[in-house]
Amino acid sequence: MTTNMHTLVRGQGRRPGGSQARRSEGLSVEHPRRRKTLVMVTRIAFIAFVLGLWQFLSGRVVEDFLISNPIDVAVKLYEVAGDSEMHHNILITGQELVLGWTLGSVAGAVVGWCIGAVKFLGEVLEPIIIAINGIPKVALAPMFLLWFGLGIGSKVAISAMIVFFLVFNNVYTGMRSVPQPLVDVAKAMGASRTYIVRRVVLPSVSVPLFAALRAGVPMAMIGVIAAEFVSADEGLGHYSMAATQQFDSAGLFAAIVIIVAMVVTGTGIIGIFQRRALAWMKD
Amino acid sequence: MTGSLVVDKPAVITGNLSHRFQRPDGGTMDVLEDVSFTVREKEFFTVVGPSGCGKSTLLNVASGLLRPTSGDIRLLKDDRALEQEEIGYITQDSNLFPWLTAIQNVMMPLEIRNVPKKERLERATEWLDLVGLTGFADHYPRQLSGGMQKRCSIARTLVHEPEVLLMDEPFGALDAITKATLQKTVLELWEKRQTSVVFITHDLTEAIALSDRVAVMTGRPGRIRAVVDIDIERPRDVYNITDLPSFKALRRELWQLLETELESGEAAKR
Repeated sequence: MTTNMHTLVRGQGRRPGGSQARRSEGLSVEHPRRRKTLVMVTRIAFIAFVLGLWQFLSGRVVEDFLISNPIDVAVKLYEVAGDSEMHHNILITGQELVLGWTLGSVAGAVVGWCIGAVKFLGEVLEPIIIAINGIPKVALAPMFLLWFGLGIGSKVAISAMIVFFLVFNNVYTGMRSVPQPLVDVAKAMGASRTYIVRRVVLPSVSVPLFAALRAGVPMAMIGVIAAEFVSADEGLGHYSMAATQQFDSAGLFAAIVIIVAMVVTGTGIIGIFQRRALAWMKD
Repeated sequence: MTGSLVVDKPAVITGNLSHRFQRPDGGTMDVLEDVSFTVREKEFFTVVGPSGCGKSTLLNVASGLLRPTSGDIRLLKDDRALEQEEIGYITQDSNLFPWLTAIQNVMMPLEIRNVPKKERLERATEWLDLVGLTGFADHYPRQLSGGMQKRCSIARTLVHEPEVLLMDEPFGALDAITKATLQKTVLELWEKRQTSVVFITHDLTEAIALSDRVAVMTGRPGRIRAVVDIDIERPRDVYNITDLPSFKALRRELWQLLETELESGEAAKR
């Protein structure tokens, strides 16, 4: 893979003019489309196979109440779709997710930017932040409940903290790896500091920033669900906990499907912004 | 031997330029020693020399990125010292901004100088045409070949029409064919716009094909060994210049100057 990419890049470098570029573009139009279809078909077949296997094993090899089965989960999903209590749970968890992710992202980006911009600060604080990052954040959930109460505050705090470290880390290292030759080029052109920040540093840091923002969505969800597990009377984490305690495995799986759908949607939305902002990287 | 050269209108003057690097182990290393030469206005002046002789250091000092240990280098126009913005510096790497399209890259120096938007676009478009990138304005650097990236970076450097152009092995990383076409482009642009050029290379063919005069440097610490006039009339045919008898004589002359240098360098090592 790496070798292939390497030859590809080198090959591009040697291309003498435009005509060859156009020809290879023409070739590459049909081929990937056919490939894409093949990937899609195989993927659907794989999912169908796994669901079928699950359905087959459930009740035959493994007790049904342990793993439920796809049909029961689908029925359950249909039932809760019109249930106002479930709507409330989704809303609560959604709120916690959005708030936690946003707070953590903003704080992580700001702190990462500042510490990355001021070399002295970075030298002083970097090892300390790495050490704090070593704490398994979910383990702090009980304490956060004490600090921020049983409501959504503690859930937001936990997920914000997880996202904070992720975004901080990427922005901080991103600030450190802004290509110096490009900064020098801009300087040689007589660019001001603010101009360099706007036109060189920001676009360069936005690559790791967006990566962290996207990866932050599932991480934020982990924080929210874990905090709800510890103590909550609403939300999807609470719902799945209650379902498990009542041996309602279909309910648990239904909650997981909803959680996954929320994470996929969130990641997808960030992905749209990412693709738009980083259009220059797209092939 | 070149310090005494008298010229009417100098563009670049170096006087007894020396530079010494601090080594990490605490010792020092002399990179340049007493380098003196004068580049005439609108002259294409090339410096050749063995690798590690301090050619790049010379340009880094000239561009203002490095401060020399002693001596000075002055870039002039009509007896006036040039501002940093009036100097164009092209290195081996194209260093285009990957998040900007070709035209945005070329417009950048104009944007920094607050040139009105409309004029920016016009001038950048003109320069893209001049370097042969018509139709590639909206391509990102990764969509351009190495030679095209080089063309784009040349356009970006020349768009604000610098008085002196410093080029540090600009075509070192390119294949022979791309290199030849770019040499042709650079010569055509230089003939049209007539800036003073200080060009650094270790390619003797390139040096002869492009230059008015070629300075040969010694190995470290770098000194100017000789300056050779290149009396080949312009406009030159870059592609077929090696066929000229005068080319062959010049190449032999330059090579002999370098060769004695390389041999004495070998002897010094032993």
